[in-house]
Amino acid sequence: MGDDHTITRRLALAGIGAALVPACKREWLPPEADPTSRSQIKPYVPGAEDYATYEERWFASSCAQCAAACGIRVRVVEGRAVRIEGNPANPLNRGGIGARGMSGLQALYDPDRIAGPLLRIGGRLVPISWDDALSTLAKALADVRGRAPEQLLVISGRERGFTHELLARLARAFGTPNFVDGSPGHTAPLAHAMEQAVGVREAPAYGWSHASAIFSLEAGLLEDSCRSIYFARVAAAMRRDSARRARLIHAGPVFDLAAYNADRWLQLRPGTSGALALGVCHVLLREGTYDRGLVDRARGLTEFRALVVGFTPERTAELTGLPAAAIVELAHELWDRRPVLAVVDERSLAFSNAVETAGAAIALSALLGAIENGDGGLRLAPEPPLAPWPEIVIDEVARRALETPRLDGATRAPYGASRAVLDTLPAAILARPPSVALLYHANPVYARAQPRRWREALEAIPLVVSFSPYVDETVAEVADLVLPDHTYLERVEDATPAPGLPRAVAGIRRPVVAPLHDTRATADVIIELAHRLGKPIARAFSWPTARDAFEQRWLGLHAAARGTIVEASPRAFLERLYEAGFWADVDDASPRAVEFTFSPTWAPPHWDGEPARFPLALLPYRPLGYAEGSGANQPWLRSLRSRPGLADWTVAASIAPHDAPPGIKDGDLLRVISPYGALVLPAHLDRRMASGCVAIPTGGGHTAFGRWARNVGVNVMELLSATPASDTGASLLCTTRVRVEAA
Amino acid sequence: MNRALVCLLVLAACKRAPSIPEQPIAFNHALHLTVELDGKRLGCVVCHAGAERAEHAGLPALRDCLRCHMRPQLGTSGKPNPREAEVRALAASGPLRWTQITRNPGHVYASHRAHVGIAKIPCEECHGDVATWTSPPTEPIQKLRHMDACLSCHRQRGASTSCGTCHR
Amino acid sequence: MSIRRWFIELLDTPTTPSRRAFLRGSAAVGAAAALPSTASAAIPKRRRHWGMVIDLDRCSACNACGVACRQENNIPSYDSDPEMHGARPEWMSMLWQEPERANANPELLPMPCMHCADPPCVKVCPVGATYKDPDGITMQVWDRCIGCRYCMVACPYSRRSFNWKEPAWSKSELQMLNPDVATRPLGVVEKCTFCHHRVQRLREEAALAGREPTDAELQRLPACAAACPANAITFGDLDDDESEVAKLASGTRAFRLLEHLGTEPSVYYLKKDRG
Repeated sequence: MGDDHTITRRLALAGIGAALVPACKREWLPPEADPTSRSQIKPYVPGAEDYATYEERWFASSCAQCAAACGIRVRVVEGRAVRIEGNPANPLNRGGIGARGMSGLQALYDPDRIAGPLLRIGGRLVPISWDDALSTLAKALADVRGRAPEQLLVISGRERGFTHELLARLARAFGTPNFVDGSPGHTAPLAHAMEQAVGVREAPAYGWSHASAIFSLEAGLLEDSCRSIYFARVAAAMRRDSARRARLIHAGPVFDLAAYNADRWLQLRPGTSGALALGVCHVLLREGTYDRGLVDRARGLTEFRALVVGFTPERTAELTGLPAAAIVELAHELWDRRPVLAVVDERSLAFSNAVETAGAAIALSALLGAIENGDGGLRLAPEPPLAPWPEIVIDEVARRALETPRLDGATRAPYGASRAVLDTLPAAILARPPSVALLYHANPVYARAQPRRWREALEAIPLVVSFSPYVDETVAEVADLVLPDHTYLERVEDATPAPGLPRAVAGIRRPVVAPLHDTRATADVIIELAHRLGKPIARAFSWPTARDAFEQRWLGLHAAARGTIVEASPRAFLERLYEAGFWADVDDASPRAVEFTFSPTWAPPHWDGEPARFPLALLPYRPLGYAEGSGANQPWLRSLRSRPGLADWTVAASIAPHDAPPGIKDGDLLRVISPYGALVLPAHLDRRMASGCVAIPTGGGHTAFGRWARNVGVNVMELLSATPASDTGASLLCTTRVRVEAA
Repeated sequence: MNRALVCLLVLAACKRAPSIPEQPIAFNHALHLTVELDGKRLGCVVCHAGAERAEHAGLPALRDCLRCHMRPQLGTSGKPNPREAEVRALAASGPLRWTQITRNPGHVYASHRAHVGIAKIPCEECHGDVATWTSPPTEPIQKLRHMDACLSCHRQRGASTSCGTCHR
Repeated sequence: MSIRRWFIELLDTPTTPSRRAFLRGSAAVGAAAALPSTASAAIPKRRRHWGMVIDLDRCSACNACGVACRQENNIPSYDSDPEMHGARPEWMSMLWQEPERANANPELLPMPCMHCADPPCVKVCPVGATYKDPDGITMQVWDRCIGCRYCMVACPYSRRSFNWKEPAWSKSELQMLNPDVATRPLGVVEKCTFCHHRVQRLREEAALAGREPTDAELQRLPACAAACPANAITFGDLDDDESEVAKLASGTRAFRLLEHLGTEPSVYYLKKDRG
């Protein structure tokens, strides 16, 4: 009995051993099938075959995730982009890069990207070929041109860049005046104020080499601004690397990152930073401590003095909520620390008094001797010497059509100083719908004030074309034809930065990977369309491809024979340009002589909504990582906390505890009601919040834009009054009053 | 009961590995290692470019083959080899995608740079006598199938046996 | 001998053909029998004490470091499900701390793993998945971790994350994973490694050139330090008196977190110089 059992046991063990031997011998399984390997098997990607396995290459290019256009280096392994880092050689960012820059990988590899052209048939978007898509559009455009060219509406969501310029060129050659720069809210008021002051219509650059203070006038310096990377670098360098440690003084209503980083935070009422600037000017003029050189030669000084005399510290204290003594102290400190960077940006100018505030800030810089001063302050943004494209010759059809009044009412009263006005468009479109609309880098059915109006308006247009690479709200709900663009890591393009460094920099973008999908660069699509439309439009687009068009501009840099790339032959120059990722002047621009004009105006911010029914001021803000508002499909950006104390992946209403309805605790749901809509979202009780305000970040409440954009908060744009700034027609974020209730 | 065990044994022994797909080109190492360029034999790094300086030695891209085979190469017989035309055909028809046979799990870091570049271990020591291979390998490198093999060599040579050196 | 010790020794015991052959079949016998040639490994053996200094005066709390870390180390975002609040892995966090005094401002601190010289996490790990590397990095071996999370309890800085879900990337998102860092499965604790893979690569490349890495090469080596636009994070060898980190760490503004616990962190902060 016992022997039998022993034999059985031994056989059993041998059997188990034998069964295990083949298993343990690790037969070859294709790695994809081997569940234990976790060897990061990556699906085939176009272009991988040009690489040896595991081969690594680096490419220099420029970021396109915000208008700063920082220089980047991209690590590509086997045809896949796996890392984006800052380019240490690029003077804009010197190797630093922000969260948004690195999230470019998620923009490229978004799993919900549009894979090819789409046409709306029977209510659904259906894939079609490029040839069919372009024929459809060319036919529609030819038809419009035959009837009434002004019936083409083009909305471009960029402010600068060759693709944006090609769209403008198309609009002009075609003969439509309705080319709408879709982001006038960004720099139009500041550019206008600069034009009034120094005659150059462009936002200023900032020199800082010997400045020992940054005075932020409600600027979203380290968050919202497209110069946030630049300022992070500059502020850090000014603190540690200069002989006299610089101070950051931030005046603003909310405890945001600028307030957190400031050496001194002056909490003032929203929209009153212009008054503060004028109050400081008052003290400087009264005490005779101001830079005489520029000021005594300036125009409008008498009127300016007349305005400023009323901004006594006491009156300024009433307007801003700051103590009068603090204002005097501030004036002394700024004078003592000159030159000073007095900064206003998109957040400072989100109020109806945008131009007045900008004017006051620039005037303050003038008094402090910080205009075109080599040691620091506002500088005229130098432009790289790009060659121009050939002039367009427009035919009679275009000439006549270009004279028709613009749909958006720009350049005419009351928006006399505007180039484009977005907020008037929905009503204008409904009144006289254009036949075709081209939307480039624009998602108005989400991102503009009162998105529902935009949906209605765009639905009235028979053919709405979007170039978006993603299914955003505009594509999902109203677009009839989608011609998806490459992402910026797949295309050749320029990267002209928003003004920041007082040095000319011309960045470029180049493909770092083969296109992942059947997409095409919008610039190439525009040129192809122009060719299909035939003369006379095609004559304005005589280049075979966009790359040829761009290289024609870049050869201006070659001809200038200066800067970081100097080569004898154009071919060699372009090769080195692609390799370097940018061209720049070697030094900061030398200061130029300027004639300064003071503009003596002031207005308090205007708020839409009766104060009795809507007692609180709504302060929507673009949170950290949201720059222009896109990026909802990039989960790394969702991991950023919008403000100190806020959680990630949420949209909350920040409010002072005494302004919240009784019984509301942190995290409880709040209903925020404006004259235009209502939203429910969690409350964030912030004891540092200014009285009488509610702050809500943009970027939440997406109903499209892919899997990562869902489930995150509400869209504050639904609450906003769509009242543009007078004069410049800029879109403004902070013009609406609300009330709050427990939800 | 015993019969059941015998059946189990037989079944276990019959268990076979799935067949390994063929490579796009039946590369002959032995032949290529007899070739001389400027009086020197082809080194491993000519095709496996990362063998000394990178983590992975890498398998060549088609452009590496085409450096020589863009024009017909005559063998020792003086006549063109019909198999060689396959390389040019591949250039016209489509991508060269090797089937990777040896692949470490993702958490293993076995750096050629450290072993070949720094420790100067000859390729044959781990990969076997490559000069005798007339067709591509069909099995993963047997010597390095288990961590014990790595560890015993590391201990012999006094190289690091800290987990983090090889695992990531 | 404690069970824990026994378990670790079992995994670390040098190969003996008889035992291993039984457990793993014949293949290992052949492998163990193959004796290598006599050339010796030549990676320089200079001992280091890797450390980091974070200058809070320069730091603007922009969180570029956090995102750089996510990119470098393939940290999963899981999905946009609100249920995942607070449960997503994060290695470099921006700690927001309310002050004790009523009218003072909060502090925002970028916090990587402290790489303590006397780490509580290493003491409690039952399987030796976390240990102290001779160069000062507190290593985490993903494949040894059994997910008991004692280390998470033990860490006074809460710098360890757990994979509550199996990270799943779409086919498209798989493409962008960093091939130098393994992904971790469900049930494994993960944390900052001071970008050990980058340190290793730099040391190897320097060794190829017959030298050690220079301090300049080390200063912005980890992903967080490389990305920081304000140049607030510096990395290097705390034992090298000439290094930037050693100089900064011995300055008057330098402090460490929770020093009274005796964990001896290798991450120093420089106090804000608010004037």
